[in-house]
Amino acid sequence: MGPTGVLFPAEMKTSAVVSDTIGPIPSTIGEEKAAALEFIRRAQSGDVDAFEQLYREHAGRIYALCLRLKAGDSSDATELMQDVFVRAWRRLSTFRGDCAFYSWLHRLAVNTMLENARSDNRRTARVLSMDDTSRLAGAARSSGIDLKMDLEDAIASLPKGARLAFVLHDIEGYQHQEIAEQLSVSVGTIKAQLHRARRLLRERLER
Amino acid sequence: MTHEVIRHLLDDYVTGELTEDARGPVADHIAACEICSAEVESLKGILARAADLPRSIEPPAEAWLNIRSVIERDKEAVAADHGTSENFWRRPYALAAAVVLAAVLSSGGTALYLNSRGTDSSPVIATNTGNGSTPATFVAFTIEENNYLRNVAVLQDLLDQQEALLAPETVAQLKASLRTIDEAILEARSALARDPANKMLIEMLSGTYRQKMDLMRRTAEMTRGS
Amino acid sequence: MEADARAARDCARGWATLSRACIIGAATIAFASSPVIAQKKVERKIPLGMEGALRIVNMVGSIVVHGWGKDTVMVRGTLGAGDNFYMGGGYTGAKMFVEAVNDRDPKPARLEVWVPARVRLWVKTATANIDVSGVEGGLDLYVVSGTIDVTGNPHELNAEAIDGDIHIAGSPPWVRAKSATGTIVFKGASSDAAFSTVSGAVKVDGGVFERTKIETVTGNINFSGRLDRSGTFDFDTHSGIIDIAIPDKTAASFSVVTIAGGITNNVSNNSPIPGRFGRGAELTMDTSGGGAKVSVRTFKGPVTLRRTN
Repeated sequence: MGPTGVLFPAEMKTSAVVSDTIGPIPSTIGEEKAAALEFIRRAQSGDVDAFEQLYREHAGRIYALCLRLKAGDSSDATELMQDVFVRAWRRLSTFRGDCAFYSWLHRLAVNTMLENARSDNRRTARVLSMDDTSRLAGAARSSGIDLKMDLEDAIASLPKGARLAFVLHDIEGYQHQEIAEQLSVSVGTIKAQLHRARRLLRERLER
Repeated sequence: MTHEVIRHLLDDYVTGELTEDARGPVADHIAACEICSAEVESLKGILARAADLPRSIEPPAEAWLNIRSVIERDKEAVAADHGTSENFWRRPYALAAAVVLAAVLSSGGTALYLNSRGTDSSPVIATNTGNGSTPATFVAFTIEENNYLRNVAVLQDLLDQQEALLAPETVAQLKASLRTIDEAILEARSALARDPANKMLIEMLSGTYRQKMDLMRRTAEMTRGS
Repeated sequence: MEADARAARDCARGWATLSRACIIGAATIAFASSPVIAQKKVERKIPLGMEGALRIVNMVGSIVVHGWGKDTVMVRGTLGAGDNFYMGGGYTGAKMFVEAVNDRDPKPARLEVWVPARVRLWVKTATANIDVSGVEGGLDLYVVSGTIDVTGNPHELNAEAIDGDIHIAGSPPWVRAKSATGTIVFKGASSDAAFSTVSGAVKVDGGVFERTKIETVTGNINFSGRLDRSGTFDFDTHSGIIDIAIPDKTAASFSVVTIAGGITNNVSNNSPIPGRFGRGAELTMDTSGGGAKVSVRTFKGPVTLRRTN
């Protein structure tokens, strides 16, 4: 378990299910309820309604991830999230049930963001300056919100590499190795970016 | 290990990623070094606050509508490629009926018209498809109908909330446009009731409905968080 | 969604206040007739890469954009007294916006902006007019009731209005224009064009088109252009009048169907036949051996096919 208490996707990877669609429920997917699997099966058969149920269940978490990956820009985050779910629909047949559905979606979100960034010829690149006091739209609010909003702002203001490393490791709970593989960089680079992110966050929050 | 070396290990120390061999000396140093001790506390604070961040944030309501519209276009494209009449009949026809009901809900005038004419708003496909009212077709219609009703209702709610943000002239134009679309839907629907096997009519009706959803969505987006 | 979630575009953060600011259409009219108000001048300049991204938000007034060959964004303009102007960003991306001191009575701001020609530009207004020329990168332009004027050949153009007109003079390879009640006028050529209105007219007069989709509910459609023989062309309306003019020797395959309207064919000797149950009409024909696929569908809008003069 990582600091956030979230099970790392890596921990879910055991033996792959060979069939093209989900067969008998493997023991590695203990936390997926039977109903959720039923939705996945139906969605794989083309049932858009069932896919909507999957969307309703996971959209909040995926959106939170997208929002932080996109430095708090809700326009970009919504665009990314929509991309992710459309791709999820199109690639649903490749989901073999050897990991939690959310983990599969999560990985798809990060890959989609990276692919979009690499082939971006229609998106507005947004670079937040140090002075940009961006706010996350729709972020959860509570009585202690000032501190939380400050942290969200601070994360949004991090340089891209540092932000990705921090979001994926310290918020989403990925291991260094997993992040390195997904971002196609070395573990050393991820650690350096993490170190940088935490240092910058401390500086900005403790001012 | 020197102080400088240990400073670079503090991250791993806090997250429990140090090797067993290194952990002891680092812990000893932290206990004796104010700087490193403060840094460790600070790091723990950041990670604790990160752990406290919301894991789920509600996305914009229209996101699903956009996703769904792409998925529906994908399915249409697949159905067109496969050229199977059965696939063609089920979904678009269900779509047509759903469009009708959506038109009823969105336009008071339309509802009044239908009520006064005593026209049943139940799906024509349930009785006149000519290919038999199979449970699958009826289920497909019900799903489509519910989804479109829900989607239009969501959009209508959004627009109702945002009405105050728009100039009165723009609101009037928007309402006039929606009335125009509703009238077109109603006309096409009436024609469909007389000719339920008309494939083109179904497609046109679907297209008009998509235009309505697009207009509502665009208006909601333009007035929301510029 | 153009295969991605480009849909859902809205600005976040500190611009939430702008969503409530300046969206008062009457202000534009008020500006024209009100006495001279104290104004604040703006003149700023920041570096921006030749293919950088720029976002501009100004709800009331006007935004005029010129593409130029420098890696710099320069803006000159005037704001209402008390209003503020913000501009910032880095070499790859920048943004500028006008913040009204009084949300309920926003004053018009006139901005004239020079941008690197290959910029990726995103502009949003409520009633301000947008005028862009000389930009070759990408354009995303959004107005509620202002007008959009684009001159030049942006690589991609997306223009959306609720009740504003859209005028495009140029040849963007990819173009999308939508307005509910406004008129869309396109003079140029495009490989992939789609225009949509509810009651606004769509007038296309130009060069070679490859893939074109024009749809209205009650708006009239006038199309005059050359059809690439491998292209597809879709014209859909509920009750608008459709007039399609094509050059002699156009190689095309037409499928025209109207549920309750009429078809007039001045392109060939083929005659329309009555539609289903004797209502409406249908016409299927090939010209010059067939080629471009042209589909015209109306519920009751009349259709005329003719040769260009």
